Amino acid sequence: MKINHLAILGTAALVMLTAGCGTTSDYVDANDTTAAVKNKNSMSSSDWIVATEKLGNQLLASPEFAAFLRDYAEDAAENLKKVQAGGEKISARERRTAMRPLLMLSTIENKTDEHIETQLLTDRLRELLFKSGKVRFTTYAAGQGQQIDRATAQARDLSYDPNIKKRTRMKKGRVNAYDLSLSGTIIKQRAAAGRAREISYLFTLTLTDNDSGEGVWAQTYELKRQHIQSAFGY
Amino acid sequence: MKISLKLLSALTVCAVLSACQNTVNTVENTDKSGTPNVIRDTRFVTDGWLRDRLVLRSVKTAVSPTGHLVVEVTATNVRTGALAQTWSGITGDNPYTVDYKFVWQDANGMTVDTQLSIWQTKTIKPGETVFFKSTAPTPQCKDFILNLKEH
Repeated sequence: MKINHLAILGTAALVMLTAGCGTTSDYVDANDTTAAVKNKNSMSSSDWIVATEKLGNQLLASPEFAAFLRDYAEDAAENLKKVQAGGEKISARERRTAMRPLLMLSTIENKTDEHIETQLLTDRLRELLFKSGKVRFTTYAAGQGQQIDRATAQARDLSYDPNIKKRTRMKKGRVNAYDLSLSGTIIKQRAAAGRAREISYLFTLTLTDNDSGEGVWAQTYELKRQHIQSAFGY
Repeated sequence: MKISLKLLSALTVCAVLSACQNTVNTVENTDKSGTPNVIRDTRFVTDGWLRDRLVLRSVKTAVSPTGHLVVEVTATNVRTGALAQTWSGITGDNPYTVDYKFVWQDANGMTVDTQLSIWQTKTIKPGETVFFKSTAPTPQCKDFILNLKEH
């Protein structure tokens, strides 16, 4: 009887130990911000996803942005007519895309005390705008902290390479100047009362018409999170 | 006699607890000047508790100046009253929070993968009317589904 109890106890302990050693890492839905693990005192992955959703919704439905797009398309159509009248050939690519403004991702100023990659917001918003068919985007120029693709410039350098087929060489003076830039700031604020803690991030985004320097759209969104600090300070 | 006293005490505690819960009253103009496009909706209910606690009042649509469909679902948290408030306090459901996610579909009825389809949380005060709103990611999106669940 004694042996039986000991055997059961031993087996149970072994099972528990084995289970304790096993760790799994499962795929989860990145867009499920309700189940995401959030840093108590710093920016988390889900914060960027929520901010993109809030700001993206506002941008896509903005009447001011819509008015700008309408006017831009009208001006672009007139310009194309003038260029064609002047004898310049318009490529099929240009005809297809000329009615949409060219967007440049400018600088998002990080005014928090954290190291944050603002591309996590700008790249998502760029994707949203591009897929909506509202804008084109340039990878030739970008603000601080944003990605520039040097391949466009490098492709011109290949003109001097004797191995490159002459007909496929990229010509100079063909890169388009951007029409719109997306810039902004992120500000962090903290509050504490007793064991209650609060952090908030204020996102301010501006879309600027680079021809006139005037703002086309501006939006702020404040993301706020609270938690109760444990009695032991962890 | 002892049981009656316990029951009375429990009821008193419930009454006191519920008195602490303030619910939202609203006031609005009776004669509306707006002409919202209230559409017919189809509901697929798997959680009867949620349906009874968060009453969906209307589904409105509009087309934004950029040509995108905009949807707004109006809902009211009707989980008010002594018993409901006491029970939600005991079960830790206070404040009342729900998770929601909009899914957008194109003209072929296919879902569109977008940054705007995310699960997120909304906190709703007792008696409060809230609005779940989303803009379609492209002008080609014609239909939508709003997923709702208790947090």
